[in-house]
Amino acid sequence: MKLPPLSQRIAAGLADAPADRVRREVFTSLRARVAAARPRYPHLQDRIRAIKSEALEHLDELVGLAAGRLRANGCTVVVARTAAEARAHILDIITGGTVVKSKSNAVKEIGAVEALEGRHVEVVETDLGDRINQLNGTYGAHILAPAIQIPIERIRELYSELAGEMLPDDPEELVKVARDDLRAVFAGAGYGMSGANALAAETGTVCVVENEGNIRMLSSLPDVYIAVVPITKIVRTLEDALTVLQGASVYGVAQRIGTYASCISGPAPRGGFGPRAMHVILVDNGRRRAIAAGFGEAFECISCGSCLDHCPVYAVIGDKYGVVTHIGGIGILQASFTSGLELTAAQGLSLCLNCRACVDPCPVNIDTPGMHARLREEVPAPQRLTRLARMVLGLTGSVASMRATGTALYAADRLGLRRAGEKLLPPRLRETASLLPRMPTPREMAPAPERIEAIGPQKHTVAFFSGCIMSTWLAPINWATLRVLARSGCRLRVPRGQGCCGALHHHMGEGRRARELARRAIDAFSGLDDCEAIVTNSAGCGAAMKEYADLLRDDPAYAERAREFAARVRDASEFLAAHDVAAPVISIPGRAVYFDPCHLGIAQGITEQPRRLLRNLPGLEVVDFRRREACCGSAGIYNLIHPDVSGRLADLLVADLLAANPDFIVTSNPGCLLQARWGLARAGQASRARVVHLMELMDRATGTAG
Amino acid sequence: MNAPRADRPAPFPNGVSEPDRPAGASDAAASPRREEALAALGRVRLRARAGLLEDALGAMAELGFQVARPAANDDIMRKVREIIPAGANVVYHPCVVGRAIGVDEMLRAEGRHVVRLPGDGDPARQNGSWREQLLAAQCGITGATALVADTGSLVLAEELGFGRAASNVPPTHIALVTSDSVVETLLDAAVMARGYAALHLHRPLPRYLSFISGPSRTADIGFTLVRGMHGPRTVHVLVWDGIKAVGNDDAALRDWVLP
Repeated sequence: MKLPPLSQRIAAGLADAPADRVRREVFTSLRARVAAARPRYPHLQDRIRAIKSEALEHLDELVGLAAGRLRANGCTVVVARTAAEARAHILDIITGGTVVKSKSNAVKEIGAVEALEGRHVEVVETDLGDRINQLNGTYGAHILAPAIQIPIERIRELYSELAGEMLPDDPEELVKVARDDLRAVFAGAGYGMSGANALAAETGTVCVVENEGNIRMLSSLPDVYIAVVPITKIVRTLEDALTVLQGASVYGVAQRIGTYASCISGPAPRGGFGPRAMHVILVDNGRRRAIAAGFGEAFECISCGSCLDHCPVYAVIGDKYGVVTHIGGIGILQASFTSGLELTAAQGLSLCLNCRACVDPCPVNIDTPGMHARLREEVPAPQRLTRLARMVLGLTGSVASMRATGTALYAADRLGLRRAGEKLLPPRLRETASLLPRMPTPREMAPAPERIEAIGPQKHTVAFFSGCIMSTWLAPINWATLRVLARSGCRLRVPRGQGCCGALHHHMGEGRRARELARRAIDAFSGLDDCEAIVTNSAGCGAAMKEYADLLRDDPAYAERAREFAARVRDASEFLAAHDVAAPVISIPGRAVYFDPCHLGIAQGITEQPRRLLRNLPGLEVVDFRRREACCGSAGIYNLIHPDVSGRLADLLVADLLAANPDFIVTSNPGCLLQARWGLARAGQASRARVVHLMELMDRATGTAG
Repeated sequence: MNAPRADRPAPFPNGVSEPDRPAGASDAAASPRREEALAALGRVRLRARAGLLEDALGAMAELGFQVARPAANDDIMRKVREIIPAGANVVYHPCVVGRAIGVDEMLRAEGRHVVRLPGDGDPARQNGSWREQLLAAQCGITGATALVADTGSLVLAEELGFGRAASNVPPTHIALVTSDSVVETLLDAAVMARGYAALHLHRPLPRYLSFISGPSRTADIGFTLVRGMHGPRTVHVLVWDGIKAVGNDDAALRDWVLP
């Protein structure tokens, strides 16, 4: 597959304003409707997860069972190991004439359409969105809404051309013309081709769900029906398949079930109505390899498109996040096995923010971000990371280097050299230079004492994780946090040598380094058994440390210790909200908005506690705001790797925040804090509001001097 | 129960064309399947609660089905007559309600062109050019194996496949259903389909199982919902105030799973 360089594709995606507008409209309505539809089926996600993982576990058995039953039902079945094999089978079956085809990721994946057209077979898309793309000479841009990027004005032009007269700007009228256009094609087509949402092995039943009725047409009118089915779509029973179809409907489009669910168990019998022949092409194409490599979960996907509707990256660049055959974060994972890592390493394996916004909205609860982090490890560092990114990762891995750099930058600031330094940066990074905070004094950046006594009656003993950037470039936030904790009755332990949590390294594919850092942190905190919690004020560190058990599960010496460590990790707001907090005494007049770091709100499920603490501060008016995207685009060092995508997300966030007219923009993570400041600067609104950490406001309200 | 009941049709009087049987599958295997199917059907039928039909019809109306519950046979006829314009071509897929009220004879007598499609139990009397007849029809009439209350779906379980064509190719679809067809969930409907296959086809599943949950729709242009993309633009659900079967014995369950 030949694609332009990723940077060009991203730029094109960001520049496509009409597509952005349509995506925005669709997401706004769809997200709310899906959220409203889900509670009716509280167990659906768990059931689908169980069905799909059971199916993958018994894949070989089910492939055999399905093939046997389909053959017994009168179908012709082949198992294609590669896309080329699948194409060859299709070219054996279809020798000429017209194929009516439905929307199918599998057909797209094996390149069947191009191969058929190469043999002068006419392939007509019958899903309206795909048909519009076909007439427009473009590709589907969304799993379920392929023409999402094409505005109605353009569709009107296309169909007016087809009809030979100027049609009105009315979806009803355009659909009528589209129906008539395709009716004529259905009447004369010799072949129908679709994918499948699921294949019930036990009965040999191809199950498809749709809203338009084109699959019902193409699987009953033409003489030959071909279903292209990835082996990972096979489930055991009809009931399992129906559950999958319902999941795709509820989570993908907020329907209890799609308008038409068809369960097809073979060609028409003698005297029946339907295809005389039915072919099922089972496609492996890298799936068994993915399962063997520990990435089978990527193929538990039931293709509902819900992840795209919740992905901040897809929201701003659309299908440029993907490789045509496979779209979005899950698509990148799948394409890494169906097309190869060479393709995806260059085309978007670096684009996942790890914000986890896609995980809960997935009917299979697939951990797409986690798999991205693991798969990145397979790509050599020079291909994966820019020099700057590697430098920053090297820096954050060492608190001492962070401190040294901070001190140097502090000196540069004092000497007025910051500006001159920025001019030395490459142009595309120059504007991200304002992400660097103004450095604290070297005294502030000094390590905290190992022991700090509670102020007032002692109620708790807790350990404090100081972090890399928090203990140096943003040290005042750490001091504020320590004061708030001490005033709230905490005796504090700040062990030396704890270092960096390794979150950035983990997300960026530096798994080995991340595990080293995790082990170091665990070692540093060992022996502090009297501490009831390990408290952090950085959402990113907290999320990473709570996942240490997973990170080190294959390390016999550390697996158990990692579990114990992870169980004690608490975000500062989580800990404080669960205990007595120092009574606020000083009023802070002003309006405040709180925005959730994804690593706190989504990864740790902590959304209420920070707001409750904030509302408790006298003088402060805490207001809500309508947030469009889950992630601010900071995402560790994402803003250095994809400054354009990150900048757009910062702009979105800041526009949303400023609509609430705040004096204080409050958050709980260093990256998010710097990102919001950057966004304000980009908007020329740096003085409109102060961006602060929750602990800074609590510090101000609860005390006088530290 | 004093609701009218359809005369029990002789299932497959002339025998449904025998599907290809799995190699090695024998009737011995069908027998436990039959017992199992009957037991599962009995459970689903007993679960039907008061209000389930209303739930189903409410959900269906929300999905865009035109739902009506005519009081008597004559009212069903009147409704069908209203829907189908004079001179229209109609394809009729035989069903319990259609047989009970003689819908195709009535329409034919009134001058509409009605093609009676083969049903699983009514094999073809003549060799039709079905494809052309279907494409030329303005209206398709079918029954339903079940209605699903949770999802507002019509369910058609069949071996021959004419039902799904009749319910998809013409621009208007009329489903004639009985009030005792309603089940709670999609999986209950799967029990009905398995029951139909086990009791009438000696197979694990009918070859074609269709769930229809509203008129055909698309939102591909400007994200505006438009009906009638490929399937019917209008789907009428007429609930006949009668039942397919009385009681819960094996014979009743056999009748209950018919469309």
